[in-house]
Amino acid sequence: MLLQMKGITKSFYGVQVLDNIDFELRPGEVHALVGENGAGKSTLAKLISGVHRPDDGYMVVNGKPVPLFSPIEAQRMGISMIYQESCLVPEMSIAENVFLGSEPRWLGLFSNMMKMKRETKSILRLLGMPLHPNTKVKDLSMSEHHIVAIAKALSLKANIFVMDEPTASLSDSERIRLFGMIRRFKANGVGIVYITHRLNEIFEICDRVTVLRDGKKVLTSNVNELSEKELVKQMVGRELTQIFPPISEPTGVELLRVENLTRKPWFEKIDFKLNEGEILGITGLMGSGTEGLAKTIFGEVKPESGKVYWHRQPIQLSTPRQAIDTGFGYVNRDRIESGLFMDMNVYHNLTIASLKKIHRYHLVHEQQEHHKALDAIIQLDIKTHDPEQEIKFLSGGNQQKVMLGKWLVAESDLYILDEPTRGIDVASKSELYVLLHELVNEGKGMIVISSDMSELIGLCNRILVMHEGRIVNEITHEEATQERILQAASGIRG
Amino acid sequence: MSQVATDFESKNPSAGMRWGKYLWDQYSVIFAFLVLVALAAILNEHFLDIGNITNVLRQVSIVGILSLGMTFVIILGGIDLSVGSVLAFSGTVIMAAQVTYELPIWISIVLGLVAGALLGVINGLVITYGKITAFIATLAMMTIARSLALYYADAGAISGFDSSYSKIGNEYLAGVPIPVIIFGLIFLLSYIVLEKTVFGRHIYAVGGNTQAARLSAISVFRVTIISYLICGLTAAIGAVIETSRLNSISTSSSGHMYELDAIAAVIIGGTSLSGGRGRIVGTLFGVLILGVLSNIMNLLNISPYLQGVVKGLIIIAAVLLQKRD
Repeated sequence: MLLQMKGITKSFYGVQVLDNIDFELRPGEVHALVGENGAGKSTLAKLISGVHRPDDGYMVVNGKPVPLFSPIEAQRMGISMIYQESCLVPEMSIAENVFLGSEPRWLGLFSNMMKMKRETKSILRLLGMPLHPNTKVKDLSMSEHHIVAIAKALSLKANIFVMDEPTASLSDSERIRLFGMIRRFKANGVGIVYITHRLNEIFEICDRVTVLRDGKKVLTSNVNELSEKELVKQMVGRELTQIFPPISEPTGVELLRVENLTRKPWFEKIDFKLNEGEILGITGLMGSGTEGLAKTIFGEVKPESGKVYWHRQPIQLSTPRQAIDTGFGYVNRDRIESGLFMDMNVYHNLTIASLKKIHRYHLVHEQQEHHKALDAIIQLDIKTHDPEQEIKFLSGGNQQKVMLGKWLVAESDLYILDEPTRGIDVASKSELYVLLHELVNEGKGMIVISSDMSELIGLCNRILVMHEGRIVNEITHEEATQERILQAASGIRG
Repeated sequence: MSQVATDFESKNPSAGMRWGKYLWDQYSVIFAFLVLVALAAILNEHFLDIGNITNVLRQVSIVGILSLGMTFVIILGGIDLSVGSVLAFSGTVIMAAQVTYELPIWISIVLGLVAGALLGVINGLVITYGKITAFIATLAMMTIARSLALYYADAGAISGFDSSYSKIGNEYLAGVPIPVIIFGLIFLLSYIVLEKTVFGRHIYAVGGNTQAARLSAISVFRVTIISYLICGLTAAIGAVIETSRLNSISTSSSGHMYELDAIAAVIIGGTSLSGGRGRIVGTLFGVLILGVLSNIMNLLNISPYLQGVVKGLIIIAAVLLQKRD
């Protein structure tokens, strides 16, 4: 047995997050850890990698009991973790980041740059990412970031890997490469703890699955003895019948029109129209320009040319502030870097973009603020035992909901959502989809950028597919299939 | 509080414990202050005399006012090293207006305040437009403002002749020294601005996550400029008190090292140097802790040369105490 945990209990600030958990990892197995947001998956992963210490219970790693544990000791004992949110040093090169803390040395003193670069290059090649090891991390995109974080974890000579949502920002082809590496590790007797919300991945790559619900273990079972339906039922605690609500017809009243929008090298000559009550999906492989397009529509970056019309009136968007004043809301894909205020409480995070509407003589109207924020908390079912708690103590999925909640409070008319369900569990996803439909039925418009094909197909009226900065195909809801989208996204004419 | 909020609390078995934890997180500096006062009262019977307490309060009021302004820029994620020099510069403007140009006192005060605010705005502009870090921008301002004051007075002092000016720094109102009253009023104002206004919320937001603030319709530029303006203004208010106490400004020594005392008070008060987190109430008690500390050491006849050691240790201890992540 590589890893054995017994009776693990952990609380934060008096809130019990894990309650008497037993968990084990065999050599050569991929053990999935699933559950809803806030079920305790990430906390358990952090206990394994030494970031947190359990309040009660014990752990045995590679046959040795470990009473107290730090991340460094965990690494020394052969445990390597890929975090949900990557922690890299932006000013350092990829190679330096990959080997940070475990630099190969000459004479125990000088770091061996050549070796670092060589090994980094070969790991990156295995992951299908031909980046130069000298590139500084700050120049990388979000998903490249993530790949480097994975490379860093894989570079360690570990026999236990903990992966927290490793595929969250990967494209399909990168995901397939990662799975290839996982299979190779398995064959060498390495054990992997695999946390994910994507149920199909469990059936694709995992051997056993442990389900957590509200900090308690519900079951551990072999994956092939379980159906997807059964698994969801165990996670949620009830039967989940329908994931996507029925798609409703848009009104035909134009809300937003984009003409000839160009911002090289991200995208060029983008034309599309969004009606009131419509959900428009935009997708594409990494580097296809979807993220840049969202940023440009929101005014974070200026386009080189092109026009944007709002309610048929031409508008100039040069700052996010103008966009927000117009009625735009933007959930970007990176909640730590540019989404949330980690030291602020849940109330303040929810109302930060709407304070203009809730003040008297510039004094924040607290009662009204709490009222509006609580509406969003209830509507989105944000799990927090106290909204005055700082948001950094919330689970990743609940943080994601707060990002959306900010625009509910602001009563936005256009929602630009970039990977809105990243890190959100199945049940919350369903709730979120229902909520998005409610908003759309009120006449709001929605642009959903996603790499999750089933989400796009189930949610959107139309899907625009981008390839190398251009829209290459427009697929209606009725004709949308995974194959069609993928074909268009890879630049194959269909 | 609405129904839902009470549900949140009643669901949690250890609400009491969390409340205690919350109190400690937010106000540990107050407990530390109370312990220090008790200790001081035991060590010296004269410490709690009204005369001595008044004295302590008056001594801390100038650096106290500077610390309040400093709290704004530190929560913003910046710092202002120039406040001591800005104080000397504003003081020079005030005394020069009175002595050289024989302007009325109130006009000289207004000119001094405008000068301080202006230097603050320049700091803000250099930081935002020049994209220069606050440390460097205000370090430059520190030498520039001091140098201008020194040049004007040939590194000497300018002394006033109108004795009515010295009332501000030396007289009492209802038994309380006027500088203490000014300190108290500015504290109240700062508290309201930081904790209750939209602008205050925006300062926390910019300090916590500039990029997210920009994406939440906050004008980072405006918030930054106004914060540094406030910081410069508090330095100028300090200059009014400092010049009126002696009816003179010493261009070489007035305000010397005040910036470090102000920063120390803010840090002891629990405000994070990385921005986005901190409380103005903490700063008030940080100021008081430093004041009581130097007072009790004087009462105990501890060499002033040794007092810096204690101050340094207190800063370290305060930060250790407040570490909680």
